[in-house]
Amino acid sequence: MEIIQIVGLGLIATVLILIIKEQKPMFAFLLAAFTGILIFLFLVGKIASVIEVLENLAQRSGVNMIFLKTILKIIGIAYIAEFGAQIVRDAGQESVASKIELAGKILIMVMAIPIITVIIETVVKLIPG
Amino acid sequence: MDWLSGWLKTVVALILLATFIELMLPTSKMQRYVRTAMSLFILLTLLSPVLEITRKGWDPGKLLAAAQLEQNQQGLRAAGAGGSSGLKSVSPPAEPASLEAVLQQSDRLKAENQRQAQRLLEEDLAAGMKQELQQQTVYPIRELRVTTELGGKANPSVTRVQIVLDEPDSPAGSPSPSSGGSGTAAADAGGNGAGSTGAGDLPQTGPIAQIEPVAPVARVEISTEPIGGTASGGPADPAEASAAAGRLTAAQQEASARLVKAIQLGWQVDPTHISVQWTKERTKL
Repeated sequence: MEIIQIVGLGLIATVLILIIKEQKPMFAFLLAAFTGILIFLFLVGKIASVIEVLENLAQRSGVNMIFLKTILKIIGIAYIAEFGAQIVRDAGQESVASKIELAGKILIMVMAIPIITVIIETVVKLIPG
Repeated sequence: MDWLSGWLKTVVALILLATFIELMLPTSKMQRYVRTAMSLFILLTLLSPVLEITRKGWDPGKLLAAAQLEQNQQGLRAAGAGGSSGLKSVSPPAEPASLEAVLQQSDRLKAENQRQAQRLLEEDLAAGMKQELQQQTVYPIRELRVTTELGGKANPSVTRVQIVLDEPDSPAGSPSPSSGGSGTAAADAGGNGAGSTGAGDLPQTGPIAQIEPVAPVARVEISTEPIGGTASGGPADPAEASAAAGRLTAAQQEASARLVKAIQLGWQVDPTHISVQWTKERTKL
């Protein structure tokens, strides 16, 4: 049933935005942004359950919890960056959107830097001389 | 093995996690980056055993040398314990004895066991022979000794049968020379030797042991006492015969020959290995 709620919300928001866009483009943008945030908040509970399952799996199989935390952080960065970039793109600021996406990519790579360091160190130590 | 299963579980779980997360990604724009990060995680997990080795600063050469040193010390300690220990001392249980020491001890125990078995076999054989032979001769058997030898494959063979017979010293007990007189001789000697048999008997009078296969022996060793001058035997004075040590009457010769033959037939012992001795000594009459 939730999918119907979300789709209904999206349809109503779209109609409203189309109506309001002629008179007040500013409000149309705000409406779009808030609709997006609302849908996202709808999904937060579901994402939490998925993450719980993943954590359970990782704990049971002995995956390092630092790994899991880093992975979840990467996912969060990806979601937020995508969300922000799309809203900005909707507002017509393509260049700002691409900058947000770039920031998201770089932050993801920063998250992976410790792992890269460890791997490189290991390989260097393994090679004699 | 425990470590390996844990490692495998981690790898599998991480790959599953990566798949889930890839599905959760909002758009495909970020996918490349997230994929790279996930692959790095998986690589790190796969490398974790190697990582542990390098982190602890292990050097293969140093590790090997340490292991060898420890082994050598253990071997020396065990060898010292084995060398200093006597026949009955057991190496201390705190430290495991070396293989060499254990083998030495097992050899000792095996030899002792074999000796005991041999002695038991000899005693049983002697008892059985004595019981059987006593029925065939009128002279009381004072002692019967069997010597066996363990050949290859631990097959015992009789190397020597020594029979000591009591020499009749009373004129009445002397058997008549004729073979037909054995009946009277038996009657005479029976009364004579009844006491001595009881007295001079060896303690082992158990049931006849099961006869073991006896290998033929090639060595010839006749140790029958030389025949005395009384070859004619019959008319010889029994008192004189008994008085002269080493001299045998014809009846005695015949008796010993019969005994030898009985042993040969009954026990399949080479007659050359059977020695019959006569003794005059009487402990009790």
